[in-house]
Formats: sequence, structure tokens, C-alpha cells
Amino acid sequence: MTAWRILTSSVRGATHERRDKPNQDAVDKHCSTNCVILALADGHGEAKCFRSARGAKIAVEKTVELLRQKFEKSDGSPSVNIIKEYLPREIVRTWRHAIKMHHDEAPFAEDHKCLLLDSEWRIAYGTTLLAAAAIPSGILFLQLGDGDILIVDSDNNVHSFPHDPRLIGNATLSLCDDKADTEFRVDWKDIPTIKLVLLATDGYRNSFRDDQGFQQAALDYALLIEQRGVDAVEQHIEEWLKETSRDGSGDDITVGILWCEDSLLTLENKDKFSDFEQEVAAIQPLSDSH
Amino acid sequence: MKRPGGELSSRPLHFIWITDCSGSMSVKGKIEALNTAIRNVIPHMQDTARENPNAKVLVRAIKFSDGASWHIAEPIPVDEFTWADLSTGGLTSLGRALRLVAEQLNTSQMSDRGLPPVLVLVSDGQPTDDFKSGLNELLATPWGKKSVRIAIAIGEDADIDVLQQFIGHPELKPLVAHNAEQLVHFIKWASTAVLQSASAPSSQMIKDSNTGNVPIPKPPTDNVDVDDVW
Repeated sequence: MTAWRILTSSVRGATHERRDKPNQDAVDKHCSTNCVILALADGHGEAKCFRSARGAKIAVEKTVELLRQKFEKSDGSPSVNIIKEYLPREIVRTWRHAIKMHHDEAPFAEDHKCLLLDSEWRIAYGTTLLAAAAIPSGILFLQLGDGDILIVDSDNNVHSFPHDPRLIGNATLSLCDDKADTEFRVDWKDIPTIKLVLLATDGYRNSFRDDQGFQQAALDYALLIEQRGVDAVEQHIEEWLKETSRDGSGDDITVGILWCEDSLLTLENKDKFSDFEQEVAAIQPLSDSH
Repeated sequence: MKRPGGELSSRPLHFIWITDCSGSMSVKGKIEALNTAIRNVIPHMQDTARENPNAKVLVRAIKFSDGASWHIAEPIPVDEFTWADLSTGGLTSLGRALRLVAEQLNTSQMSDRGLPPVLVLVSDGQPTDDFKSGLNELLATPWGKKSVRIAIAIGEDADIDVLQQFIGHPELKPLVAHNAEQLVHFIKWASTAVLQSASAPSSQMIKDSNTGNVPIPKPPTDNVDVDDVW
């Protein structure tokens, strides 16, 4: 198994610091010999999403748990059905179940109840989701809502997954959407020529003057880890992200980095590197039991 | 050790005044009151912008009468913004004005890092051109759909239904100014409280954001003890 390592950092945004609001991002990870998993989530800040920080935490925990169960003992590439249909559906189902449990144990206070119709209670936990899972045969990527995935290849080229053109002006898709399971963007890289993967909530990209500056961050992390070691990055990443929020978007920023410690990357499979395709899977709708 | 990545930047927030300069605005001091209100609110806008340093507020203005044109065409950083008085004469080509806004809000000219634009329409009458197609053109642009739209009526002759259609939000109504003092209050609210909300908006689920509004603070109540003039 390619030796993948993970580094994560999450900071409260400068705007939230000024307004004394909490960080609504969440991150979780799993590392084992066979499987390295990273998940990020960005809880919505709308007034009616008053438990979105909790929703984000549940999202990353359940996603990591699900991917670990699916891939830890796997030694081949997952089927297309697994990637495009089963995983999004299961992520949404387990998230809905977990927030229902939380809601049942801790019903909304009166001043929050008035913000939502009874049928809309899930909105209170609304969140995005970004995840990557590296196993021996390749890397899986999953995305629902805003946020970014950057990949640095063995030639130090930075690849960015295309943005959903609908997601401008702080608009996003959400796990609390009725059809969330059909809105996931998923991709699988069979033979990675990948040096580093960077996942980030949208506060990061929104802090840079342009995309080139944002993509430069991914390359800089790759070179820093190569040349100075991960400890040097770990020591400084939190202060870098705080500076980025302060002088950029003001938003919470969460970054997860997967990097390959081995130098076994080849060039021959570069052409197999493809961009995300936005797929809408024709799947059985989830029941409304949660 | 240097921070990874390129140059950092606050997020652009486009604020556009859409101002009625038709002939009727020359009556009973309306245009003078509007010019004064906008000019006097600039320091307050600058204060609001300073309190929200992660938004870069860029201000422009459109005027409409017979046709429509840019009164201030280039987006000016709010701390450099000054107001040139509007003059009056002609009809009320609101549809044309909205088309001009739509042209500027098409995505290729707007950064996708931007915050939802704020559009403030001030009018005293009824459109004399095809307002509806102008509004449709505006709302057909991704940024037009996401924009925060506020409408201020000057006097009782303004077409409230048209202004409500422009706002496009069931809970937000046009503000009706009957005198200069009320106009000042409403202009100040639109350019400070609304600007404050738009400067640090929360992420919104896409099904909600298509109504085009960030959460809007409550408009001011009419506590001004002055006789109605308009």
C-alpha cells in the first residue's frame, strides 16, 4: 500500500471571532495500513441552521466510519454502483439517523422551534461534506456542496476539481436537502499519480485573490512537506490558516491534506487523470423514515 | 516560514444604486432630497465597511429617465466613493435600467468568490418601458438571482407592485418615503444595515438562496414626526 499520511487543521474564522460565534466546520480522519480516510464538513450559518456545527461533526464521523467499514478490508477497486449509488445513499441515511437520534435526545428549545416548520427540522443540522479515501487500488473522492479538492501530481501540476456553477454567493448544497443522495459528486482514481491531495472548506479558496493563488497553496504544501518535513507544516498550519481568514474571506477554514510518502509515482498513467463529472445517479429515493 | 499560497484578498461586494431621474423627481424637492441622502450616507457606509474588513464594498450607480445609463460606471471602493448630483427630466425607463444591471452581473465579469450584490432601487413613479422583461433579464443571471434587492418608493405615486416584484421576497416590502427625513432613514438602512448583513453572509442552502436574499434586518419604522410632503 502506498504510504499515505494525513494532516488536518481547522480554525474559527475572523468574522466568527469578531461576532463571538463558534467554528462551524468539522474534520475527521482514519489511518490504517490499508486505508486512509479524510472527511471535512462546513455547517451552514443561516439562522435556522442552529445545530449545523453538530450536523457537520456527525457528518464527518459517520462518513469516516462508513468508508472505513467499506474499504478497510477491501483489496480491489470498488464497483461503480458502490461509488456512485451506495455510498452517497448510505452517507445520507446514516447522517439522517444520527441527527434524528440527537434531536430525539435534545429537542429544540422554543426560541428555535419557531424558525422551522416541524417537517423541516433536519435543516437545523445542515452541512456540506467533502471526503477522500485512499486504499491500495486508488483514491475515492466524494463531495456534496461547496468546498474544494486540489491534487498535486508527480510533475507538481495542480489539478482542481471543477466547481458547480450553481454554488456562488455563498449558496451550497446540503446533507439536509431532500434529494441530497442524488447530488453527490464522486470520482475514483484507479492508479494515482498523485503526490498530494488537499481538501478545504470554502473559506480557504474564498480568501485568495484568484484561483492561481489558491492552487499555489496546494503546491506549496507539497513542496514544504517534501523539503522540510511534515512537522514543520504542522507547527505553522494553524497560524497560516488564521492569517488567511483574517486577511481573506473571514470565514472558518478547515484543511485536510493527504500526501504520499513513497516516491513510487509514475508518469505513464497521467492520461487517466480525469476531471470530476457531475453525475446524477438514478437511484431509489431514500424513504422519509428519518 | 512563508504562508502557502498566493495573495490574499477580501471578497468583493457590489453595491448598486438604481435611481429614478424622471421629470416627476424634480417636484417638491425629491431629487434634491435623494442626492443629499445618498451623499450623507457615504460616511456611514464607510464605517460599516470598516467593521466588515473581509468584504470589499464596491459602489456604482445607474440613473434612468428616458432610457438608462451609468451615473457612476466603474465600481468604486467605498472609502473612495463620492456622489455626483443627479438631475431630472424625461420618463421612467426602469426596464432598461435593470438590463444594464444584468449586463454587469453576468458571471464572466463577476468573481465567483464574490458576495451577493446589493441593489437599491429608488423610484417615485411607474415604469414607462417594459419593466418585466428587464427584471426577467436580471433574474436570469446567476448573480442577479442571488442579489439582495431593496426598493424605496418616493411618494404615493410609486408603483408598489412593481417595486415588490423587483424585491422578489415575500417578507420584505418596499419602503415608502413621504418626506425627506423618511428618505434619509430608509437610504441609511439600505446602505448600512443591509450592507452589514450582506458583508458577512452565512452559507445558504441553494433552494433558499435562489430567492436571492441574505437574511435582511428589519427595516426602520416610521418615527419621524414631520408632515408628509410627497
